Amino acid sequence: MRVLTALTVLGLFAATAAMAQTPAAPPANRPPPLVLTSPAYADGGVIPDKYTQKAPQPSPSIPFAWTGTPAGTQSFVFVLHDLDVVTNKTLADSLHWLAWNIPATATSLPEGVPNVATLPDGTVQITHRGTIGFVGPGWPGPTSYHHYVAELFALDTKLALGTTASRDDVMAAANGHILGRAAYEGRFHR
Amino acid sequence: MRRITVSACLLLAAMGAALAQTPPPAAPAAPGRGGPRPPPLMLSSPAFQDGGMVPDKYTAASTAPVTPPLAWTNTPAGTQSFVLIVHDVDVVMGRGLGDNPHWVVFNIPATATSLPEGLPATATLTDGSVQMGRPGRGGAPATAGYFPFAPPPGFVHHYNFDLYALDIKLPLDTSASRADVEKAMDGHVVGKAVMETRFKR
Repeated sequence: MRVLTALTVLGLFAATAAMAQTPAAPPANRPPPLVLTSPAYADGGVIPDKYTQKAPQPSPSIPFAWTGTPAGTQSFVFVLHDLDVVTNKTLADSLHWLAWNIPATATSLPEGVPNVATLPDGTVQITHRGTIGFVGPGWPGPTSYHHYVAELFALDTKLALGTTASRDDVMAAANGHILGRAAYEGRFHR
Repeated sequence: MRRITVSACLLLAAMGAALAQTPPPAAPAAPGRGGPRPPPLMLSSPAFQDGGMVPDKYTAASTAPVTPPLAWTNTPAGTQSFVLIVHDVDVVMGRGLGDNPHWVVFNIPATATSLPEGLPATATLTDGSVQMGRPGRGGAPATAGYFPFAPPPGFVHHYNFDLYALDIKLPLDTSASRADVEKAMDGHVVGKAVMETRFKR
């Protein structure tokens, strides 16, 4: 009995010590973060010509894939934009692709997504500058690169927006619902 | 004589062509229609490459991190000041769209073409530049200036360096937030240059 009591006390002590350490849990206990990749080019590298305005238009869209979908994700928003562009002295940069209501079960965008407003899986692509879906990088250069950043947002909701929604509409609707985000960066000049 | 005249004419024509090809000196062309575009604002660092990894000495992997050195060329005509925003684009703050700012400097003089390595962590620099502060952790006092990169161990985060040339100086002081800076900048950006970098520890 005394042994049992001692064991119980030791057990409680150990449990208390373990609990006391819980708030400082090592990052290994966190779920793995959302990570975005592309098989087409290295992160931070140069985007191959076949996906750009150097190729016959419309060029195929760049393939992307991701891992680490956060718990509770209901849909994804995907944005590809050129950070180096200034529009009318504002902070707005240049949009090249925006897709929303990508199903939470998706883990990739294949190469050559069709240029249609709504995909069979319910994904909606923006119509921008007269084009539906992906528009390839086109910065003439030749002395400087432009930076084309792909960003994936995992949302705790689906967006109640139709095919006429603007980039501002989509980002405003996503704001406050972002469970995770991941970036993948490319550069290009002609 | 005729041969000499022809030669002289050819020489003059050649000189004229050469002069016509000489790019206009320092004076940047106005961004008007028709004329050649001025060369774009370009940002670089002597310490790491565009699209590359940031060395440990500028990050939380160092026990005494310093600010990274930066340099830029092709300041647009009409620039009155610069803003630098360095941010981690892989971080979500409170489910919102805002990402994590690591360094915000505004009212950098229009004549500046670089930021040296190892700037002091003071709210105001001697040239009038203002470095944004951020609250200290766990009740620690607020600090100004560069906040070294500290992604979760084992994972790559993307750190974008955005340099903006503005046609005004910002009417803001050391209490300004990133949102204040961005609101004041909007409508005054005459040039932008970007570097993409990554870091993992």
